[in-house]
Amino acid sequence: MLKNFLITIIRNFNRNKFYTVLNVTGLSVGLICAILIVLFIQEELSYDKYNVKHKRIVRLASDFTLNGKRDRVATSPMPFGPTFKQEFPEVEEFVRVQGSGRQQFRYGEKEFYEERISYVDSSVFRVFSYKLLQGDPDKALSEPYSIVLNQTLAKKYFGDEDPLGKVLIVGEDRSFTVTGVMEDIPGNSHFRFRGFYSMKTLEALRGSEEFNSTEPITFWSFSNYTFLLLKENSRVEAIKEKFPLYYEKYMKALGDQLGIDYTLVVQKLADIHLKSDLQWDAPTGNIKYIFILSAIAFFILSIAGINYMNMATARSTKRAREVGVRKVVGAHRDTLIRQFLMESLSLTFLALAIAIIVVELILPFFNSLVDKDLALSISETPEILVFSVLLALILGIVSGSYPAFYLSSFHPAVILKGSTIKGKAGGMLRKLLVISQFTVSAIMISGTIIVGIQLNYMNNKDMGFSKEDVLVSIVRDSLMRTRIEPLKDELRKNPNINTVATSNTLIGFDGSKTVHLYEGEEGMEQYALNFSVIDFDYLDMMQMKMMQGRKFDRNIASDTSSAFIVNQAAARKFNWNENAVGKKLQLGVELEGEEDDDGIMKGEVVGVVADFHYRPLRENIEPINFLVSEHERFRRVMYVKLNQDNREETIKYIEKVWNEFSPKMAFNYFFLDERLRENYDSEVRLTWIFSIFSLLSILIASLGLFGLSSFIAEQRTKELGVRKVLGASVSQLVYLLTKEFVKLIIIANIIAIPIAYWAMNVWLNDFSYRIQISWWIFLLTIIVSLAIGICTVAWQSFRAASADPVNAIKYE
Amino acid sequence: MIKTKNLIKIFRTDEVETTALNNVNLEINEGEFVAIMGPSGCGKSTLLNIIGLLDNPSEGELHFNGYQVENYSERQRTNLRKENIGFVFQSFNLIDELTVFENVELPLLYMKVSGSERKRRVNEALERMNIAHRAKHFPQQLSGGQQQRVAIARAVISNPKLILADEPTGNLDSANGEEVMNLLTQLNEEGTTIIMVTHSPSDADRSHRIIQLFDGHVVTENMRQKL
Repeated sequence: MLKNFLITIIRNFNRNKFYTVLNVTGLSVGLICAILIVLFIQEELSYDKYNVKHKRIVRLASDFTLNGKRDRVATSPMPFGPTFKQEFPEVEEFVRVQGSGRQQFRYGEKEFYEERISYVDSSVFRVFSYKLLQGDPDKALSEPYSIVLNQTLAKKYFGDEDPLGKVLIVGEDRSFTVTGVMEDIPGNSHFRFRGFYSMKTLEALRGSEEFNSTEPITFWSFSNYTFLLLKENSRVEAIKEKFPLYYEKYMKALGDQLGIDYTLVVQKLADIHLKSDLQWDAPTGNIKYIFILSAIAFFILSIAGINYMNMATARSTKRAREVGVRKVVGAHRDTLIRQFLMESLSLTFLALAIAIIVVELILPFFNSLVDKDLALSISETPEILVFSVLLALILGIVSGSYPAFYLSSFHPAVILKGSTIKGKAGGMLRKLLVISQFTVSAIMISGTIIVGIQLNYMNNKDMGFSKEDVLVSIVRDSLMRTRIEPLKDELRKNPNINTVATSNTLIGFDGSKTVHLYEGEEGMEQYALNFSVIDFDYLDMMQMKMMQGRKFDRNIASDTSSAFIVNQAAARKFNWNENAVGKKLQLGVELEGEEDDDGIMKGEVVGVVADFHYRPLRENIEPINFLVSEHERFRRVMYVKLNQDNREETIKYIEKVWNEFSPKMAFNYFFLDERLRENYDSEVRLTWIFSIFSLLSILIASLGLFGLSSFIAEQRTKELGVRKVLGASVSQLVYLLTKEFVKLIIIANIIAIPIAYWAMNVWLNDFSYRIQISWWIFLLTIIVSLAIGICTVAWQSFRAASADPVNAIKYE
Repeated sequence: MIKTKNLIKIFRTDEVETTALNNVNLEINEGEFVAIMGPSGCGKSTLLNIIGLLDNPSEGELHFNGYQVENYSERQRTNLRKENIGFVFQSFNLIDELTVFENVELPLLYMKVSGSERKRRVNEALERMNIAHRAKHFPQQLSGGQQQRVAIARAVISNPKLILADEPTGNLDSANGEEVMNLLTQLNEEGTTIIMVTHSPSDADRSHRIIQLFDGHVVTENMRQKL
């Protein structure tokens, strides 16, 4: 019997190649999308779980409110690690992680800038499952100036030499001894370290006493990441429950004095990637995208399944006789149902085989799009393959059931009399299915347009400062920092260089925030305010607009000691509004019992600069305060504004000058607008994903429509012939055949519009600066889906309409 | 073997109600060869479908081999049919995707007959219908007469007691029609009961008895003396 089923199935496929190819293509494309999305999601969900002890690892983060301004940061104070281990019996081990930014590495002739190498405690190898290939995990990071590199870096600097014991020069002149080589950390880690410096190095640099200090003030600087490994069977909640006592002991006194509300945040390691939304965190994923993608996968598979149902039932007349005969000679209905289900399953499994092959082929391309390293293989991802098989099984059964029940319900007496069954029975349902397909497609099309427009808006919005043609270089050479002004003079000699400026932080990326006192209605009030230390050329170079007062002036000596320029947001926040100039402002606060007022600056506001977007447009413009200084400490970032002309030569010139001033540290640069664009990487990725999958969903829906329209044209051959004999023109007939589908597509769009409007608004609400969804987007969607629909249907309709009516009338 | 009592069949669509059979009373004995005749639309095929358990009567009784079957479920009817009844249609109704051999084999598959037994019986039936050399061909590759012989082979493969033939020669030329009628006559002589719907008086001449239908009624029943 099975053999008979298979024979019928194969011969049926063979005989109806056109529909089989349409069906298999649709199902394959659906499965390709689903497999890619499942791979993506599975990887997102797997973050950090390769750590054997991940269930026992937590990260301590901070949630604090100062003067009504709440900040939630991924970091915690330096003493947390050791004191938590001391105070909480649940804690088995702690690891502190402190970043070090980009550093120049030198070994012999080799000289590169490296990042993602952090200072960590030596316990790192006991807590995390990072595998040391060379070196002793217990000792590798126990001495100052030790460094562990990953395989890639070790290879890069030492090639085939044994890296252990080799000395790397980091930065200007710090020598680190390589004490270990570890396996590259997998891509699904929220921290992608490429190497570790020993924490002991920091201790040696700062002095043991200061480094290990548990003075109250050390608890209020959230300078590093703290991970705890909890003992077996201890609860994460226990840490939170017992924290108030700890707070009382170590933090409360000074916290009350500063007026800070502090809440400890305890995050499970595996939750960080998708669920953490803290500041100063490593780039994280977004659980929302997981939901969006799951929905897309579901919809695309539904469209493919609907295609199958549609074509199978539409073509039922062709199968009717077979059903009749089988029933007459003794087939029960359930036997027939089984036969038809087997048919749909064979199709889906054929499609699955194709899908797996195609996924293997396009995975590298997909990986580069989504910036991941996904793989599909029996050895590495057996669960994905099992899942794919299950998916195909469900798809086959679900999409095969309706045709199976429908076909097997035919009455042989009716069929075998020779009268054909009109496809009417499924007509209404088929319409509903076409509508639902195009609804999904329309949602995807409008979603793509909206994401694209928002992205374009963010890239092109006037940021309030000039980000174009600004070359940025980080000044790491301390000697060079003392000679910035001569460097600037030298650079300005080039006619293609407009302005050169420096600041302590890179605008838009890193910033400092500290407690300020501002002149309120009832005396001085506290506020944690962003600040940046700039030089006299900075505001000009950034082309920032002054709204009140004046810019910093070299000729006014007090500007470096007591002048501030704030942005409009600050003026509004402090209720100064139009009268900000002359208001008192103080950076830093005096603490009780502390004598020195180092780091405190008192002064007046001399100007207000127009608001500018120094953070991505997802975020609101926050108050910021500028102070001016030419002290070497604050000359970390150098900006060079270039002309459009002879850019390459100009850059070569800058490099030449740079090397004269800093023979030790290589010249290294990027363009500000390009770096700012990277802020929108995840949106760019989303646009790509949206575009690709909406294209595919449209493709599948069109395949279905194509099949359906050709079937309907075929079915109406006789009618068309009669109409033609009676005088209908080809165009009238094409219109007749097409208008039915046009109606369905318009209905689909009407259903899609409110859904898309709602869903995209939810997404856009994440942005402080967003576009409004306007009506033309939906008009465009309607036009696009109609155009696709009509093109798909028109060809078949035209063919049917222009056929010779004589043949048509004879058709039975 | 077959007895009908006040058999009524009414077809209903939304607007029209058609009485296809009206109080049909019949009795057909085992071994008989009965021809049903009448103008188009008089209910011949409907009667045949009801006797063949493909359709249910709207009212009345149907007895098959002593069982009253008009209220049988679909499953019961299928079981009864596959053991006892073979069908021959005007348009042959072979499955295009199956070869001659596979078409003939089909009823045995549903009767769960073993593979070797199937092979033996199919070959035997094909030999008998003189079509064995075409076993591996598909229906479209055969002439009408050949297709109908395959259909008859399929009808007899399960050794049914009853063969229902719905205008078996309707799509055939006279030579092929003659051949098909010979086969049916031969089957009847071997003991198979045959009920045949036909328009052809010469085909009807082969039968023992002719039942004339008109507008759903049995008009006359002519007993014919076999020559």
